[in-house]
Amino acid sequence: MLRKDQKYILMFIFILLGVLTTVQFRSIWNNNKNKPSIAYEIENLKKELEAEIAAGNELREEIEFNTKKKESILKTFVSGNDDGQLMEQWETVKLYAGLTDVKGDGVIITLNDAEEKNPIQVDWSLLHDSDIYEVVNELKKGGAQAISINNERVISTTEIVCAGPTIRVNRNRYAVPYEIKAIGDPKRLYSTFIESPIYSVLKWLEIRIEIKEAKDIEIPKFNGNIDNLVKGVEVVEQ
Amino acid sequence: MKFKNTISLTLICLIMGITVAWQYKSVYNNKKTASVQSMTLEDLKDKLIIEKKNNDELRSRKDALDKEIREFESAKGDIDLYKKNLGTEMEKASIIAGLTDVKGPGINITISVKDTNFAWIGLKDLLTIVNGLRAAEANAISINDERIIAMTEISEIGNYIIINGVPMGSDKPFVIKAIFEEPKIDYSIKMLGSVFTKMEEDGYISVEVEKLDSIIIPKIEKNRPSFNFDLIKEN
Repeated sequence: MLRKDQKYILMFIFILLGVLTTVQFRSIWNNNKNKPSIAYEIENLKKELEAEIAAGNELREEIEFNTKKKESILKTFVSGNDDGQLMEQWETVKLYAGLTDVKGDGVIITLNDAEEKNPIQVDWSLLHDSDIYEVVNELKKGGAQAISINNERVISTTEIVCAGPTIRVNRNRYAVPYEIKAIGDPKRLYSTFIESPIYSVLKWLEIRIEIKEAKDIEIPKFNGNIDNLVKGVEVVEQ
Repeated sequence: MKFKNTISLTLICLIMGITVAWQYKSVYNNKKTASVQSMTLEDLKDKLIIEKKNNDELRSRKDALDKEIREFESAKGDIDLYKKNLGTEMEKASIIAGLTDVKGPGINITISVKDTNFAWIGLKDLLTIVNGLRAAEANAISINDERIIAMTEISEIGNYIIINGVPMGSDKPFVIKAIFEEPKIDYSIKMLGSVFTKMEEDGYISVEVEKLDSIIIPKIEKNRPSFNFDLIKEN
């Protein structure tokens, strides 16, 4: 026969064993129930997302192709009619509006969050929308003639707003790092930016920031739907 | 006998202890991976919704373009149709470039300093408002009748704000006009509300917002430094 205290110990051990078995059983059961289904769903969503992105790219290409086709039809018929004046005017207006791909010398700025968290305020180690539009404003002060942010052309309606961890530019979202390209006088752009208050502030906050002069920078045209940008606006006849 | 019992009990307890710890860790890890998975799941769902919306818009753009090209092809030689089409396209591009005076429904914002001895309108106030208007999808903006175009700079020197190269006294009121698509006006006023509240809370600036059925925004003057394209080589 066991002694009384040994009985208690055994009882305690078996209680633990019971709890353990239950927890173990439930955990395995839950895992089997959830894991494959979530993983399966993620797999499916990834595939669906890839398909949508591919479809989007295809649509963009088709739109690009058809826009060119339309332009060439217009060119063929309209140019012959008035010595190409109207067509020339059209090209100029498109350039002013930011609807053509352009090339030229200028600067390229890259911006990224600070490598380490700021000990005073974590927020300070991250880039904000105001940082980006202040940088862009400095480039405009420096006489920039065309600007893009992650290849999104900056036009008269271009907004730069925080949307969670990303920023929204021309209604599309982008995450860090940001590459800002500007065409203009490289020297003037460079010195205006280096001497600007926003540059010192970002440097002080240890935001990763780089600026380099570059030749023949290519900046793409505005890629969104221009019909959305003229709604509600009427031209006043002069 | 008693010694043997103690040894075996110790051994059992030891094994049990290790098992419990092990089990605990495994359950904890499972929970952690599950939450990471559900996070990526939500993230993926969000991305998918955005992509789908984008693609819908692209599809309708493509359809409109296809229709135009079909019309073009069936009307071979009809110069008037081509010219008319080019005219509308040109008008849209001119609005975006700021080459024409425009009118439409919108808002009129007047910001002024309460005591000109102690305060002035700052560069950042104006940048914030302009960016806020753009975020609310304003389609044409002007400050003190200077049209804000793609390359319009806002800078500050001494007591002056400089926009499109034109100096404006920063102790004077600034009138900012913006044209919107009608249904977006109320939303934009609401969205900018927090910006204005913050400015007013600082105590130096007063903001007045007026909703108008029709406002006129002038075109950009061609001698402005922000309207210069001589360094661009076309691709």
